[in-house]
Amino acid sequence: MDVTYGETQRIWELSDSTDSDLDNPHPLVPEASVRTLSPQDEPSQSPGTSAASHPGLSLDALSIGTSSAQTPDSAPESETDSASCGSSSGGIFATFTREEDECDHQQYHEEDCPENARRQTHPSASCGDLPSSDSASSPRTRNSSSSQAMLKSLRNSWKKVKKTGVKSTTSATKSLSTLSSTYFNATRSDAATRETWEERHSRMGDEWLTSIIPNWSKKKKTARVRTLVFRGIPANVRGRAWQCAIGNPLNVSEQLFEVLKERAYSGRMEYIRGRETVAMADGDVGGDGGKAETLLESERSAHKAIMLDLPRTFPELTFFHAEGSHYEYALRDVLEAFLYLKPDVGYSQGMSFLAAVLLLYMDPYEAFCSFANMLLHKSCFLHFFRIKMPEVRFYLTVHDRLLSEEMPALHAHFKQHGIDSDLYMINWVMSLYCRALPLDLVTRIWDVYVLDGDVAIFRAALGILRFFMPRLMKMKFEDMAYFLSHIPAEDLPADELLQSVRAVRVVTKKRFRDLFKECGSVYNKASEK
Amino acid sequence: MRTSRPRILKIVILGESGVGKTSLMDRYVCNEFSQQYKATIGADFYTKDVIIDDKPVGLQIWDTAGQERYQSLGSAFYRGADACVLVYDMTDARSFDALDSWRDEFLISAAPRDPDSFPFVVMGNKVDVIDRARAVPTKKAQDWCYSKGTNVIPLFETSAMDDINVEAAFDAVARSGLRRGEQDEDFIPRDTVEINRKPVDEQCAC
Repeated sequence: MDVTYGETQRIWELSDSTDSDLDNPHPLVPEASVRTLSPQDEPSQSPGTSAASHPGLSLDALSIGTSSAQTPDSAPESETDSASCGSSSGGIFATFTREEDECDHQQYHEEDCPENARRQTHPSASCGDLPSSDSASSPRTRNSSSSQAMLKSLRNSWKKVKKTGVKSTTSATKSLSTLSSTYFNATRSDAATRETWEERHSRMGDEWLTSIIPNWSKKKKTARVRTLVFRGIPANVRGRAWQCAIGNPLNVSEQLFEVLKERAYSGRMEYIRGRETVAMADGDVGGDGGKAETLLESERSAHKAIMLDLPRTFPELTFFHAEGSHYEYALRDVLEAFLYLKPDVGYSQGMSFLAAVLLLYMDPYEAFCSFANMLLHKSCFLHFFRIKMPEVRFYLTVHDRLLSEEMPALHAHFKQHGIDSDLYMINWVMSLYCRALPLDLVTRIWDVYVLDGDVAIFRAALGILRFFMPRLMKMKFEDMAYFLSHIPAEDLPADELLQSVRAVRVVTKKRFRDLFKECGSVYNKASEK
Repeated sequence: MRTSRPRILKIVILGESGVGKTSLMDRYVCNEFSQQYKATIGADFYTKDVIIDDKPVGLQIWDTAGQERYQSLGSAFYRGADACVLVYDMTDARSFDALDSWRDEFLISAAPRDPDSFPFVVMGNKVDVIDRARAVPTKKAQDWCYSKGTNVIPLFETSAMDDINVEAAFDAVARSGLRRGEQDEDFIPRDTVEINRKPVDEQCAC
């Protein structure tokens, strides 16, 4: 493929414009110049991967033409992408997500109640919020609650899996799958008279595949899609739906990913060789490792941090880290490729969780594409991962303001006991809830995130706080600080959490933008003084 | 100054990524060790009640993220700290070299009233590791501890995995925090440097 320099230039221009897009909502903040990877920067950027040592890897080799870029809007024709990933990622939480769907009281309700059933047949009609309780006369209520009990025991096993170490995980996983099959059989017999579990699940998946995903830009704003998203995207189409919702405005092509991976490979090799050199030099009495260390400094620390964090990302998912499993390598590739795509952002702790979740539903290139677009396109992540002050502080202030409007009593309670939002928000935002919540809840929040963007992160925070507000109001500083850094996820049913998130009214995109601007102007006035 | 209410001490644990801050904390607070810690993002909060010299003391411990860029977030977690633990990995010289920057950053962000005598405790973790060469000789760490501030910083070589010296080290942290609160207490004199090590090491200077 012939790629002219002009074409290759595009991506960098695009990524520059992304930065300005990102900074657009808060023009009042004096912005330090954002350095993006540009052809001119290249030789000095990464001495370990200079064009001289890798002649094949000059920037001209990057093919980023729009024709080669697979835009997710037009992508979902083939059946092979996320489905294969979703099923091979096994089960543990593909299973869980399905259960969450199945447990949705709304489903039982719909099947029983003709009115709701009618809504179901009219995709454009709004389904409204989930009902808070089942009708007592419903013959399925009992079954549904027994299913709930089973789900609870499932989640307890999951908790056990998380708590116990590597050795016991396999057996715990086995017992988990036994439990889940029991559960499925029970649920299946519940619905056998009307529609089997497979039929309903495949119907929901079909709606996503045939109706929603191909017409995403039209449908994303409909009430129907919103309701389906809050109910949870079916696991078998989740990867495709996420890709479609995140999109590829940066035009990250597969070829670009390959080139970045190659660069990352040689960078990593340099790092490993350098590490050996430095270690030897340090071992000598009065040895001089100084020169080698200086050369490797910036990349070295990033490669080191990535390698260190690979096993520390979802360590409870044994299939992810099993010997011979491709997940860990793919995770390394995605993170390292991003390191070379945006050296000014590099690698920040938290990224590995984001990339890992994507990899559970997508293949490595798709995950990289979504990862880059998620982080770089109109997103708060860029500020958070660079820990860029004062912007990060603004986001936290915006959260405080929204909290004070949504739940004034809780806000006052936090203030009285000295609970800062730093305490939980840094963790929640920078891992998009991966460190705070179990994966079945994380994926549900991500469903909303891909639909709404940044505001969903802050809405979810208020949703969690609102859910636990009665408990938090009874606590003092120590208990609250512990509670917020160790959310008891077993007390947090997915559907109720999502209801709580959906019920948050104060967070709208406009309100969010306005508050952010306000923070900027207050800050600017203060710094002028 | 003695009160019947338990003293509350705020303790912050700092150090490079992967040196074992979370595992030390887990060992001390829960007496557990796992091979599967998640990377810390932001900070995690733990509490532990201890009795020191027959007095109840409540420890509030902040386990922080180790990546360098997280230092700029520090102020919220560092503010009002009574003692600070600096952790390095004995098999990684770089993690030891980073102690200077962690200490400086802490003193800037926390801005304690007594920067020269603020209580620090240094823990050299992973003393159990035998398959990798030891990269930080005890003498080197000891010299560093002598050279900072007006007090000698207590040094402990620990293993969260094998439970070596962890209790003793945190006990020293709590004591130094308490001592700071008691105005009539003298500073630690220079000759009481603590190098507490269980495993015998030929390089050990004590």
